[in-house]
Order: sequence, then C-alpha cells, then structure tokens
Amino acid sequence: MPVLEIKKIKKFFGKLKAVNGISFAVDENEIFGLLGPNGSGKTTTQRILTTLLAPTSGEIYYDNKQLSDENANDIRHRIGYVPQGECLFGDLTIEENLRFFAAPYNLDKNHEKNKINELLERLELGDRRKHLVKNLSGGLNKRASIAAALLHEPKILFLDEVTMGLDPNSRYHIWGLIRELKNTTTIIMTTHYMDEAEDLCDRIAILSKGKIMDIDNPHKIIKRYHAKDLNEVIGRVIEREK
Amino acid sequence: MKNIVAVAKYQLVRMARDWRLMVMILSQPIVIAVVVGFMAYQEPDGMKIAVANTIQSKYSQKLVDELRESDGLNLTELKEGGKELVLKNGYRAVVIIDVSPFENSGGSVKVYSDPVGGIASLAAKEAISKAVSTVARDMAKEQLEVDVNSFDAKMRQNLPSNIAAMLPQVELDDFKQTELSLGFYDATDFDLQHFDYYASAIMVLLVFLVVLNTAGISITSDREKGTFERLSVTPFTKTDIIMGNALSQFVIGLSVIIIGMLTLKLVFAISIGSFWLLSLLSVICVACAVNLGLLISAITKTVVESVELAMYAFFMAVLTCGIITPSETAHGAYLFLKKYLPFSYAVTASREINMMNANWQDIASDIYVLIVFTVIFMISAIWALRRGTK
Ligand SMILES: Nc1ncnc2c1ncn2[C@@H]1O[C@H](COP(=O)(O)OP(=O)(O)O)[C@@H](O)[C@H]1O
Ligand SMILES: [Mg+2]
Repeated sequence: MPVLEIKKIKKFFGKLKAVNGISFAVDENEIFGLLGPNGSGKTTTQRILTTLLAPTSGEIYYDNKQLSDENANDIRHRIGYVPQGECLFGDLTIEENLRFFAAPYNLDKNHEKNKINELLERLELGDRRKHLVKNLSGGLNKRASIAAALLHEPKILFLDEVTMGLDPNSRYHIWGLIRELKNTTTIIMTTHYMDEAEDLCDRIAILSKGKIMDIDNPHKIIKRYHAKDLNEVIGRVIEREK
Repeated sequence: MKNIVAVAKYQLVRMARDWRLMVMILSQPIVIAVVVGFMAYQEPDGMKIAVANTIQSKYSQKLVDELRESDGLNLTELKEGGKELVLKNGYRAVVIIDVSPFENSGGSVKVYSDPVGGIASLAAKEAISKAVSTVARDMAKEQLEVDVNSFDAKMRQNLPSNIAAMLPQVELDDFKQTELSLGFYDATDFDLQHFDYYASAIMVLLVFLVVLNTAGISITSDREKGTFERLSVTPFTKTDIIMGNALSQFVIGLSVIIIGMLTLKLVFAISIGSFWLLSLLSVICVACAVNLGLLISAITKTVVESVELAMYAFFMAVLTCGIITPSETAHGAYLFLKKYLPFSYAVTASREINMMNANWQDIASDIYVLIVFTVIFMISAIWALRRGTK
C-alpha cells in the first residue's frame, strides 16, 4: 500500500505550467528521488505535497486519504520538510530553533528534551547548540534544518536539494543519515547530484518542464537507456524533449 | 494556548537579540515625550505682528500702544498694510486700523491672520482681541462721559438758571471705575498649557507608528527569509501564528507607551488623570494597533509593501484621530472616516482621561468601539493570512 499517491497534479502560475499533470505513488520506507534540470518543477511538486501550495488540479492521497483543507493539519503532523533555502530563525540558537519547531507537536516535555539531545548528537551539533543559526556554516545550517524536521519523527520526509553546495564531508554525513532514516521513514528527495540519486534512491522520477519523463529504479533506467550513468540518461531525456 | 505562547516567546527573543532595533524602538517614546514636553513648556512668545495705523487718532494710537504692551507680541508699525503682508513678511497677523476715526463713532479694526500659524496665530489673535477690548472699553467710557456732560450742559442751558443751579452735579466716577476685562482660559480642571492637549494624543499616535511597523513586517519578513514557509509545514494554525505574533508585538507596544507616558509624567509632570483608566486605554490601543499591523502583514507579500501600507495607515491615523481638527467639528466624508476608523476614539478617550479627569462612564463607549475594532482586525488577519508560499 503506498503511503503517498498523487494523481494528475497540475500547478500553473499564470501561463507558466510549473507542474503539468504528474502522477506517482511512493511506498513505505522507500527513498524516492525527483530529478530534473532547474525549473522542471521539483520544488513546486514538493511544496504541493507539503501543503504549502494548492495544486491547480489533481489529487493527493496520504495513506489512501485525500488531502484537503480539513485534514491538512493532520498531515502536517506526519510529514517533515527541509526546504531548498534557509529555513531556521537566524536570531535563535540551534537549540532554541529545535524547541520552537517542536512546540506544535505537543510532545511530552521529557521526550522533547531527549529527542532534541538525541538529534543534536546524531547530527554532530552538540557543541554548537548554543550558537546562533545565522553564524553557522552552510553544512551545519543544513544539518540543523534536518534536525528540526525530524523532531516529531515524521512518517514521510521531504528533502529539497539537501546536499546542495556542501563540502564532500558534509554530504557523506547526510548520506549516512538518510540511509539510517530509511528504516523508519519514507523519503522524497530532490537532487542535482546523480551519484547521490544512484546511490540512495530506490526509485527516481525524471522531470522535465513539469512532466515526468521516466520513473523507475535508477540502475534499471541506466540499463534501459544503455547509458553509462544517470548523467547520460538525463542528458538524453532533456535532448529528446527539445 | 501553548502554541501561541511558543510563537510569542521566540518572536520576542528574536527581536530582543536585534539590539539596534530595540534601541530604536525603546528610545523613541523617550525622545518623542521629551520633545512634546519641551513644546508643552513653550508658551508662544515673540509673535510677529504688524499694525498699520492709517488714521492716527487718539484711540487708534491707544490701540497701537496697547498692542505694544501685550505679552508675547513683537510689534512692527507700518504706514499702511494689506493682507498680503502676512504671508510675505511672515507676520502671524496684520492689524489694520482705518475707515472712520475712533473719536466719535467707533471705527474699524481689521485683523488678517496666518491661517496655518497654529498655536501662534491663535495666541496672536487672543492678544489682539484683548488689546481691542481694552481700547473699546476706554472709548466707551470716555464717550459716555462726553455724552452725559453735553446732555447735562444742554439741559442746564434750557432751564431757568435758578432751577439749573438746584440740579446735582452729574457724577461719573462710578461708571469710570466699572471694569471690563476679556480673558482666555483653558476649560479644564488642570493648569494646562497649550501642548498638554497634544501630549497624550501624541503618545497614542506613537504607539500606532511603532507597532504598525513592527507588527506590519513581522510575517512578511519571515516570508522573505523563508522561515514562514518552514513554519507553514508545522501544525501551527493560522490562529497560533497571528495570536502568537500579536502577543509578542503587544509586549513591545506596551513598553513603548509605558516608557512614553512615564517620561511625560516624571520629567514634565504632565497631567495624566486616572492611572487605571489610562492603563486600560493604553492596553486596548496597543492591542488595536498590533492587530491592525498584523492584518497589514497578512495581506502584504513583501516587507516593502508592509512598510508602505503601515505608513499609509499611520497617516490616516494622524489625519483622522482628531489631533488636527476636533472630532465634534467633523462632518460629511471626513466624519465618516473618523467614525469608521479607530484612531479618533483612542485620542478622544486619552484626552478625556488626561484633561477632563474622566471616569469609566465617560470613556466606556470609546473603549468598546476600540475593542470591536481590535477583534475585527484580529479575525480579518487570521482569515487573510495565507500559509506557505505566496
Ligand atoms: N510562486 C511562483 N510564482 C511563479 N512562478 C513560479 C513560482 N514558483 C515556481 N515558479 C516557476 O515554476 C517553475 C518550476 O519551478 P521549481 O519547482 O522551483 O523548479 P525546480 O525546483 O525543479 O528547479 C520555474 O519556472 C519557476 O520559475
Ligand atoms: Mg528547486
């Protein structure tokens, strides 16, 4: 049974068809990748799925229940989101940010405290907990954002270009974390790093101009295209689109 | 409730960490109160007045002397004058004495005054009125003496001299001692000076100025930073977000009004009337300003838009709050604006408390109206707020 299924989602900004009729289903504990060039609609798709944007048309089902205004807040209890840009409060410390973002989930006080400590340890932020977020480096900032998204142990985690612009060390760190999370969490991620997609994703959807061009296991896709890697596949898909 | 407090708490922490902003916000009421205080102690003085005495009669000369003696006037004598001198030479008023001589049958005094001279023009007109009334009184007395004496003489002429001799001498001393004086005083229980009228109203406006801006940008600045999008993925409801922001902005606004009023009271001993009523009114004014600010933040998309709209609302507040024209004299479209915007109620109530020593009954209706506006603003803000990405 899919934890998330979307049917014919469209999102138009005026004349611009940012997302133009995409459908897919994601299974429990799957890592699902959204790939595609800039402007292909990856972020818009994630925003629609995280209740941030209402689609122009189409249906979204979480656990076979259709997402609507009425149950949006229940869904928000079950999802976590690390957006593309900065999302934490710069004038608060890492720890204050975590406490703030934990507040709406009504966690038990002790549990909340333990969870924050656990995440600070797991993301190696322990000694920076009292640092203001605005003074953190890109990698630490991203790790803090991930910690903030995991406080309530979401069933589905959305990661938008989470390793973008990070040094290799930080990237590997985050890869390790994603693999660990796979045991308990379904992950829907976007990335521009093909090695990352090949390595981490169970399945990927290749987007171009708001449409899904292909959807499958990355290795199967490479085989099907007789390509040497995903880079080549994407290149060919985009070429074909033109 | 827990969520509201969480939003409020961390918003406040964030603002407090921006110490430059804090200095700006919290120094404002002190500086503004001190300036208002200085103005309050500044009775109009040295007002430039010109007089053109075109007839050079006894009484016209007397009026000129009287004006020269008047407190606060700085008199210039001209050969002739016209109203154009007011604006050209910067006189608060030009007094022209002409037409018939004062000797027998009154005369004419024209006063052209600067319509936008504010308090100074008013004070100049007061001083001129006093001078004219003094001269008019003297004139009336002397005229009376002349009339009575000539009547007396005529009567004696027409009577046989033995009867005329029996008539008593007309005694005018009683009339002469009759005093007529014209004075201008404030219609309040306190010894107020001109700017006391403005002090509390200015504090109310200051709260609107500060809070409309800080509350106005509160949500849009988070939107621009990207933090609002992140916030929108959490189960914080729109009500949590608006009420939480309202609570933190309320603390800021209340600090501003308390600091401002204390400065006025402690440094300048300005009358504040009932402390409890003023506190109540302050709380409600701040709440009203906060929720209007949040409504602005909810309906705008960028910080620039919010600031623009906040200043727009603030200017409407200045124009319609009754500080420029008293509420009673408003009519037509202007009255409509005053009635359907909250600002005049706030200023009216604060003046009543400060100057008239009003009690609860006197200001209750103003307070109720402000509460209704506050609730309308809050509900509209919650309703208008859009989660997520705009
Ligand atoms: N709020 C918006 N208003 C107008 N156009 C938008 C908006 N958000 C995204 N777009 C446009 O939609 C297209 C898809 O954007 P996006 O989903 O961010 O792409 P990606 O994340 O794949 O780079 C782009 O052309 C982008 O400019
Ligand atoms: Mg994107």
